[in-house]
Amino acid sequence: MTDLEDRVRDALLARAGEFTTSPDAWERTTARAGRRAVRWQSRRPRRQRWMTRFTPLAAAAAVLVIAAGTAILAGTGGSQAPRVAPTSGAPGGFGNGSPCAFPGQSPKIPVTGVTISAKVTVDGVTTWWTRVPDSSFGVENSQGKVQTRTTNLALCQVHGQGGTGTPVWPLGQGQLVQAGSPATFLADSTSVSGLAVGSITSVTADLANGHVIQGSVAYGKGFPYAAWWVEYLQGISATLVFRDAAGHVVKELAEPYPPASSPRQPKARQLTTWDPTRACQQDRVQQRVADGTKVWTYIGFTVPKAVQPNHAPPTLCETTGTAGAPASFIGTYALPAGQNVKRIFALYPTSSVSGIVVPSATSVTAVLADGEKYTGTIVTNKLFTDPVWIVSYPLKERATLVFRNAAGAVVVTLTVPANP
Amino acid sequence: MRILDDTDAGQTGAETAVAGLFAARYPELVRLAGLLGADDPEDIAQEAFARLLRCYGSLRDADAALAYVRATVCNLTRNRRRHLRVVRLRTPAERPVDAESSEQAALLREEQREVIAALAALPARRREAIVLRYWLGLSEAEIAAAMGISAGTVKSQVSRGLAALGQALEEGR
Repeated sequence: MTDLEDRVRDALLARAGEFTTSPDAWERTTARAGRRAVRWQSRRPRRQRWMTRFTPLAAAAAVLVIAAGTAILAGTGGSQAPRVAPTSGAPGGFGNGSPCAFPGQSPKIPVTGVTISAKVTVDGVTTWWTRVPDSSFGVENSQGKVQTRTTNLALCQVHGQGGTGTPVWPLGQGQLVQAGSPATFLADSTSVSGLAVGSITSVTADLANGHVIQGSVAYGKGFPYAAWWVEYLQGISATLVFRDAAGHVVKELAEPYPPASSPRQPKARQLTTWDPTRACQQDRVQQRVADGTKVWTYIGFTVPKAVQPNHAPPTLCETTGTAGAPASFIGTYALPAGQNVKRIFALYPTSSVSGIVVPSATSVTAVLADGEKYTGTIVTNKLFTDPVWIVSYPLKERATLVFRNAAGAVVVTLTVPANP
Repeated sequence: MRILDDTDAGQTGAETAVAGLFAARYPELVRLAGLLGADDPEDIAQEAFARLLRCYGSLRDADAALAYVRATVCNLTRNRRRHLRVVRLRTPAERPVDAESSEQAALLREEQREVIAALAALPARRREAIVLRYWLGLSEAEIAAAMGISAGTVKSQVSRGLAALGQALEEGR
């Protein structure tokens, strides 16, 4: 073992010791395994993300198709647990082969579909349509009853190493948009996909926190319908807005969080003990104050789960301490997303101030009465509902916080009174 | 809970077996995911065990379970980092999600911090090989199984990774 190898081993050991585990990890794991197993019936983890994103295309708003698309992807004829399965297996139908030919897919799987459209690539995803022999599918509606539907259309989409062939049925008379069930991946993002009439050229997810996420729409020659998909932060309500080429809103679909029929909906509205490791989606900041003390802070937003009565908007939460010492402050405070409200607490020998950032601010500086300046941090995280700011400085009389935008112009100032 | 095994007896046996493995190895796999650069190591480890639960019945033998879940952690972490890279490209103003945390910087000794920083700069495959070799102490064959590459490639990845680490640490002085 060389000196370098010893150093690497020591560093890895020290770093590994920082990762902690949750006491309810097993319960979470089994819940996750059960949920996914019922949902996807898949034994192909490499393509799980693909299926997460695109398989719901086959599902209308209140309807869930489970087995058919999965069986096509897996090429195994389906899964083993009780499920909704094709109710008829016509020779050459979906049950016996794939309607789409994907790179890397076994050549032994017969391609039964006839391509009827151009192949259109949008945001790295190539989409095309195939016509297949009539096939019937068992479809479970929102009441849990299985109904039979028939279609001869299949949507093919391929990206990178994988793809999916999904049976779909036509839009109903006057129906502009068809949306699948929202799907999640690694508990951090939600994907929704579906079909739309050809006049729709764009889709956005307008989130409850005011952010707008641009989705993708694929349409081309021979397409009976446009295919769309959008991915956004999990744990927040969204409105899917569909527009035409002129920018006019054609259709809006609400995607509430939690979904009305979701098991995530808590049965009782009660507060549980606040646990920052579970309830808080945080990021970490280190600030070095004037006397050299290192102060670290976890700051972020509470996750809008059962800890929030009536699914209240996320609130700021933070854990703060000095380096090498246990946390000296753990707390959360109500700060509705989108508001710019300050909060002050004293952490000897510093004051630390934090809040939700004003929309256009990219930097924050604390200017003390004697002219001393301390630069704070704007903290953003994919999972945050809004950026937050935090700045620390030695205990002094009072400070003025100056927020600037990317061009350096002052956006807003806040005066922070002296700590009591 | 529902497990996709062939029989009810298989379900019970699978859950018991995976629970045992979970109790013994979960913290280690969380740390493995963390050392490989996952932004949420617990999420990765839980997902790996959830997949093991679902496919336990199709494993060749029970002894393959650890290798399977280890390989899954490596793959999921790699995919997750790739995903985050894309997310960052689309939202360049966003702070990197897997940036070195302030707490790490404060608590790790300076020299160790340099090593970890140099390790983080290595290509994903080399980083995986180094972590599996020097933290988990796996053999070349075990590393090959976890990474899905040949033993010879493992040897070269470790060797090149160490060389790059040595060079980076030397340049940092």
